[in-house]
Amino acid sequence: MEYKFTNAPVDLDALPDHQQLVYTPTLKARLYKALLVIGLFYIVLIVGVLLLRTVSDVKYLIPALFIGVTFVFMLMAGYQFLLQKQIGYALREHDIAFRRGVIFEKITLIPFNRIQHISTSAGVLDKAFKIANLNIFTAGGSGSDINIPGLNPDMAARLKDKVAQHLTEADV
Amino acid sequence: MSKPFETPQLQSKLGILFIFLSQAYKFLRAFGAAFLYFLIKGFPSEVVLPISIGLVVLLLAILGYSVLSYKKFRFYIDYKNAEFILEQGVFATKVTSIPFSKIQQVYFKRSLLQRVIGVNSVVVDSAGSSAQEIDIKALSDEDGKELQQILMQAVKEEIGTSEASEPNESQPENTASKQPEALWTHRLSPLALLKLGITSNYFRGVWLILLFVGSLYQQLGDFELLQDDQYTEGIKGYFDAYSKPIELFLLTALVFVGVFILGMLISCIEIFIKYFDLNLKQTKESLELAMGLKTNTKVSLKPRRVQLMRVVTNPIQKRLNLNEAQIAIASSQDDLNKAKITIPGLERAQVEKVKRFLFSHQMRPGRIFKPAFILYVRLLIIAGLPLLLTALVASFLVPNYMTEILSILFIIFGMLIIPYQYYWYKALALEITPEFVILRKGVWNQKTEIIELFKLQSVTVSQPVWYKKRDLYNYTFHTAGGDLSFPVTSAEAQRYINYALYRVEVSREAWM
Repeated sequence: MEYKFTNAPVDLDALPDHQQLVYTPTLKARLYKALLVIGLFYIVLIVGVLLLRTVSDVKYLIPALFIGVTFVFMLMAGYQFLLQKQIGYALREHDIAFRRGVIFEKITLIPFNRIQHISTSAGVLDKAFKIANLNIFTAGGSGSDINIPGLNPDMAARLKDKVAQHLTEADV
Repeated sequence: MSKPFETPQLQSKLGILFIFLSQAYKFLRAFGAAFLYFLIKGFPSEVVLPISIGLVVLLLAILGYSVLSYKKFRFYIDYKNAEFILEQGVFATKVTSIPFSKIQQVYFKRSLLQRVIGVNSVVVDSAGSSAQEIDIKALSDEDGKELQQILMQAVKEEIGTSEASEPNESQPENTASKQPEALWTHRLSPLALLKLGITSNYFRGVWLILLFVGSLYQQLGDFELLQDDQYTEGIKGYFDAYSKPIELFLLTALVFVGVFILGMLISCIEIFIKYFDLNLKQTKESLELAMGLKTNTKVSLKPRRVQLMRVVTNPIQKRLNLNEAQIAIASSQDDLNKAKITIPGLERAQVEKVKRFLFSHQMRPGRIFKPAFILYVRLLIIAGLPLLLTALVASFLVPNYMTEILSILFIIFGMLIIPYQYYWYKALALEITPEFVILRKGVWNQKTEIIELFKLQSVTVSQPVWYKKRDLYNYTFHTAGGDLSFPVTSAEAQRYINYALYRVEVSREAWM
């Protein structure tokens, strides 16, 4: 094969803009699962607070704890609702983008030709809610790996295959 | 005709035994203390029955789990997508796939237990962080060998097809950068080492002294060599003797100078031991580095492996034309500091030579970004918070001395923090050239971090809610040798993120 060196100037404005990406949201089941986990923790803590009543006789301690715990868990649940709107992924021809975070919005973009390996995983709760995670690993350390939660298991498998196809194409 | 390993394979049947034993061992470790307690104390007769029943049930449960785990652990080769796939997990499931082209190595591993049972671990390793590699823990000798052979064969073919075109592509650049350069060497003489030692950062040395003194004092206290009353009396006499302010001042100054000189000495000694007889030599393919009092460091650096380069200097060393180069290479370790190679005492011209050799592209000027002014304000607030806290605590503890304390705090803030943070903010700059990302930072220790764009692994753009209105972002460039992070910069840099992605995606060059 003959190698022809070209070095045309690149017009920055003509490049596809990642800020224009439309993110596909994850399934609502992700939110429900998160809420369930938070709810379970909340129940455990409240039971703990109620048990405390039998040993503690500090005035107002129990109601204060009760209100405090409820407030924190309301915040956590509210956060999950906001996160559900934020969290999403976007696939392009040559890379994948993943957006998450409410207070710190974070977008990680991984070019397909830098992906080392991919996996799909589903925990017990994920299975109960019929969702799966897609994990994408690069050589860039944990900061540059992404883990997309709340996907339809078929979708996760399809995405995985699709990215895998890109991987092999990107190399040849 | 079906190809080998095309259909999902199970491990060797002995795998059940292996899983069972390792799980049982885990339980034994967890309950080992209770077990030992009963063994020593002797079993009370009334608990023998429930315990043995429980034990049997537990063992049966583990056995069931082992069988399930064995049945669910399946691996195969997907020839169409050219990748190796592993399915695992009883309750939580996981499917991992590694494309052939990303497989770094396939090797055998054997623990004592595996040796006894007669199975092998076959590890399929990719360049990702080490925790996620594939480990097939129970394969018989033949199966393992076959799998290894087939995978290695597949990897070779895969790389063969892609490499056939690669050398042609990368050659023009490589030869262009190598030919005009004569091989050169760089040595550090003892004099240069002395210069380095004197101009380096003594904080480490001072810190070591403090640690040493601290532990010494503690040990003396432990042996009660210093009787309490005697000691306090000694201090009292001491203060009486030196109660004149000038003498006291002189004494503190003397102590400071003493510690300073000692710190310098220790830094010098450390540098002598670490970098003695440093010898840097460039051959055609690599940079050879040997150093240390007993030549304990010997590295061969290949340009392809280099991911990130950092050049460090300080104003004094700059005047003496001394620069330190730190080079991070690709490694499967998450701890990136371990994979860092340090070359001290380079002249600027030599730094340029190293750069020219290690990087496949020429440095050209690019667009320079500075962080937004709000970053300085934020830095001041963050640095000011501890002071504010001190003032608050002081107002409760010693309200009588508030004016003194406040004035000290104000002096610290005004004379140290405001200028320091200003210079730090001023020094921070990000330059994106057609082929590089360059980050400059540091007030005294001035660092320049350089990565080649095509060696990027991924990019992260983050934005806290409170910067949304100002349209400011934090940018992080991930490489296999560490990250470059640049805070609070205008959205203008987003276009260069697009460019960085484009540059990586069109790249065919091997990045490691």
